[in-house]
Amino acid sequence: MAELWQPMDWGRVAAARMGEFVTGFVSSATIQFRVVAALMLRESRTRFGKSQVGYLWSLAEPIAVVLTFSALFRALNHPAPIGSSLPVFFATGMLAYHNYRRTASFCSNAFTANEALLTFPIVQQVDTLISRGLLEFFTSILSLLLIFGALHLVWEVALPVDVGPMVLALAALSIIGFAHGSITAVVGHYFPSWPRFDELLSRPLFFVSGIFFVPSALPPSVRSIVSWNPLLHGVELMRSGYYPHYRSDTLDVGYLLGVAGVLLLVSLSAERVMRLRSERDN
Amino acid sequence: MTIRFRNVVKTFRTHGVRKVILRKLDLTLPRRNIAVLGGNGAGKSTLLRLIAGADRPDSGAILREGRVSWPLGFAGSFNGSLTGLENARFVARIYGEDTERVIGFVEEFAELGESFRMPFTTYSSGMRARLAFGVSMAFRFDWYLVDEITEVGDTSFREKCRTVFKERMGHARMIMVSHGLGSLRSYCDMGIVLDRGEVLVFDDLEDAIAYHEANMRGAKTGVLQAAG
Repeated sequence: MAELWQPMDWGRVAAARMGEFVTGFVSSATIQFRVVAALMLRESRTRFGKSQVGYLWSLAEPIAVVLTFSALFRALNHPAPIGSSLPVFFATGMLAYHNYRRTASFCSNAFTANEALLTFPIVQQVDTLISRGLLEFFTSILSLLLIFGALHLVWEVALPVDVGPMVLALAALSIIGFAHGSITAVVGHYFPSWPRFDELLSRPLFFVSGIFFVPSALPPSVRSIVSWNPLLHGVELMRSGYYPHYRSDTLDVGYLLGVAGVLLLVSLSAERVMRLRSERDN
Repeated sequence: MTIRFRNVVKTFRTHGVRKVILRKLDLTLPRRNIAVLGGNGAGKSTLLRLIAGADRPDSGAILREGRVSWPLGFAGSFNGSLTGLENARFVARIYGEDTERVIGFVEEFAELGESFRMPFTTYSSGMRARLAFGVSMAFRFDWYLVDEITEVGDTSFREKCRTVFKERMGHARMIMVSHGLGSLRSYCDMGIVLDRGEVLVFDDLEDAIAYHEANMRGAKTGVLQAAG
């Protein structure tokens, strides 16, 4: 005699399945959180060493850029587009851009730098990406606090008016950097020379992200092209938080966050596809 | 507590050449100390990685009961610029164990002295092996997967390893890959042979060894007839 499902059984089965799913999800999430946290701590140890010097050294490059361009603009008698200080203007832009660039860089070699780690079955490749991305984000926040703190204390530079948009800018740029780096890492898994090529292709972004100019100073035709660059929006958002009266017509926060979201989805999917295939091809 | 392979297929493609490691394996590994035998390149290390979960099968599933270690080998997966202590701490963290306890155990077990707080790159091969051992033994797994353990250290250290292993084997089991038959004989009581995509199970380790050696000599037909 065939057993017939009663409507009540369906309800019970569904509830049981849901319960399993939630428990399974929570425990996997806990494990992933634990692994990512451990990776981040390990990563910061190897990156910055035991002394503070390693960390300060990583700021050397952006500081050098800021100082060089400040000197250059001063020599050309070009005033700061906003406010009265050239270095501060460049610093706001550089902090934002450099966050993106460093995140993209570090994520793009997350796989090769951490190969030995994957012997521990509990560590997944995506964990190495996420841990690097998060570490870069927190480092940038720290840089933000240190740099503007130092500028304020030593040179009496004004503190940011509203830190909120600045943190949001860093978050969005971190995500874009993470996505870019992850996609590079995934493609680099199949084509090992891709990461170098990608870095070359990305260099022009340095000039069109608004570190050295404000979009309103550009001719409209150029402005409309450049405003497709999400990094520009990140820089503008950063500046709108720092400066008391700066309102940018070009800034579109929705665009920035939208691009970040889409890129995040694409990069995570790409990593997933790679993971499903990677053990097939050695 | 068993480890079950359900229709597991695993192939590798290196430089366009496709090699079948496992051809639809359906097998249950019982709760015993198991030796894994096979020729070079047969896929023994891959099999261990599959059991550990460090690699995934192309299709099929592996169902594990109990905590399975990572493939314990000579070098472990330690970061050169971190100290032995920091490496141990990292592994403790990812497995969710009390970091202080693990560090304490490894420091005492591995007998590295001051080097425990020096970067891993400064270690000799013997020291690296002792650290790897120490870290592996710091965790209570139900299944220890051992890949080509070479006995390192002086006699007293080897004795310590053996004692700890034996104590663990009270409640844990070992799956071991080794070309040293002596090691296999002292730890395992049954064997499986990996041969061109197939896994043959032998309830008695000596039968497994006999089959494997005959295989290597190329006299397969005779052994198959004798084993029935």
